[in-house]
Amino acid sequence: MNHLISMRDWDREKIQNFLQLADQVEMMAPQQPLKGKIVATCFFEPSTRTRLSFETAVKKLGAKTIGFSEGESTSTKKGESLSDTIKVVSDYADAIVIRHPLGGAARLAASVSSVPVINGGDGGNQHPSQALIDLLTIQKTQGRLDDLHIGVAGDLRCARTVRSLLQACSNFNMRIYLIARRGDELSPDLIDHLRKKGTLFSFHENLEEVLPKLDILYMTRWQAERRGGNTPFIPKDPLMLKISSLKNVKHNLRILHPLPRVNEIDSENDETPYAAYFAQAHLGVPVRMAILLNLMTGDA
Amino acid sequence: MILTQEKAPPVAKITHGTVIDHIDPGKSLLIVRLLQLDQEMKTISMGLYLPSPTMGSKDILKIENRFLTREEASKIAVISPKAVINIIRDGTVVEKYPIEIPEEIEGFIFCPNPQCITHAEKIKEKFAVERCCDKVRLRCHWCEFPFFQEHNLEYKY
Repeated sequence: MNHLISMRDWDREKIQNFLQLADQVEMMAPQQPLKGKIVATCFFEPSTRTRLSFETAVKKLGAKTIGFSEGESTSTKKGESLSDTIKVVSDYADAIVIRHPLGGAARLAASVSSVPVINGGDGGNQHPSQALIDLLTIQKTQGRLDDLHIGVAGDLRCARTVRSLLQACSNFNMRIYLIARRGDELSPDLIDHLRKKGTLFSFHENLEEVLPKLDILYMTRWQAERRGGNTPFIPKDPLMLKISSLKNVKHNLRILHPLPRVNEIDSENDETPYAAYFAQAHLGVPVRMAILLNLMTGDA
Repeated sequence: MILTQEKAPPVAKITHGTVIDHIDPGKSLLIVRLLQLDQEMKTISMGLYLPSPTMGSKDILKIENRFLTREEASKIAVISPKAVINIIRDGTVVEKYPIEIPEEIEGFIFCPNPQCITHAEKIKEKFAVERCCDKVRLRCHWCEFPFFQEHNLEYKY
């Protein structure tokens, strides 16, 4: 049985085939290919885009959803294990989308589930469906995935979207600029991964000096929840994109962000031709439709 | 014959059993505990921080009448990847092999990532093992967290 757990499991060919499906999937929706099926959305962590876009994707394909948006409303509050929860839910549904605060939760779910499991984010580890959305956005805005200059900026240490995206990007010929404040740099194992894959990359603390070189700028927010905090703590000198920084950029530059943003992208940028983060969020639905179709019917 | 201090071997020879040589310095006590050799009432001789021309410093373990299995040897690989196993019979080395680094290990280390699902659920810890330069790097099968064997790891005894 196939699951979507981690971008480590994907290679270039698999990604390219998938993006082709994602590009065409909305044309398949009228046929209601998942009619009669049920998808369970098991969200133990807050979510706006991931949960709602999966639910929209399910409905567009003709299926129905069951699920929950916080673990507190389930029997895990009474001490029930995740394993038991998934075993039971997989009896009720034809696929499970799970988001959980602990790394490895999705892979555990996949090991006990009798239906396909889709990782909607597990701790600070992976967010593979987001990486696929990011790649589709890059492909649509730039016309290709090779020979691009990609800046990845913000909380590189803790953002799971960065982990998944860089693992995905390492399958393509991309020049990567890693832009982070001291203490927020990319973890050594990911640096090692990029090196092994032959990806050219460099480290920077100053966003402005890198901007003129970029085709894509991928911004991320400070991940307070991965550092043991529950409040949206903002560091004293966060990496921020101001509209004044966009003076000498390439005309094809596009700014991506998995959202939610806090203050790292000034809203003044929203009306510029460079802002692609809302278009990126829009692509969440067709990408998630393609994921569901791929896993629940074997279409690729 | 009177043995001078200079001529006495640092750890006495054994007649039958296993000698684990080229153990990373200071790690032999951990190996004894991990393999539960201290509970078997076998004679164990140990040399800690012995001078070594190849390693600078090493430990050595000699266990009388005990022959390590390959599975036990694979556990040692994670703690001390340069270790060499010598099987002794009738005072002679009959078999000698370097530790083989396994591709995967299960169950005897806690994942050092405090945000790993293995700390909240009753599941067996599992790690992929890979050589990284001269060191052994482990990666948690569940949370994908990578770490080196020199980290202050918590072992399951």
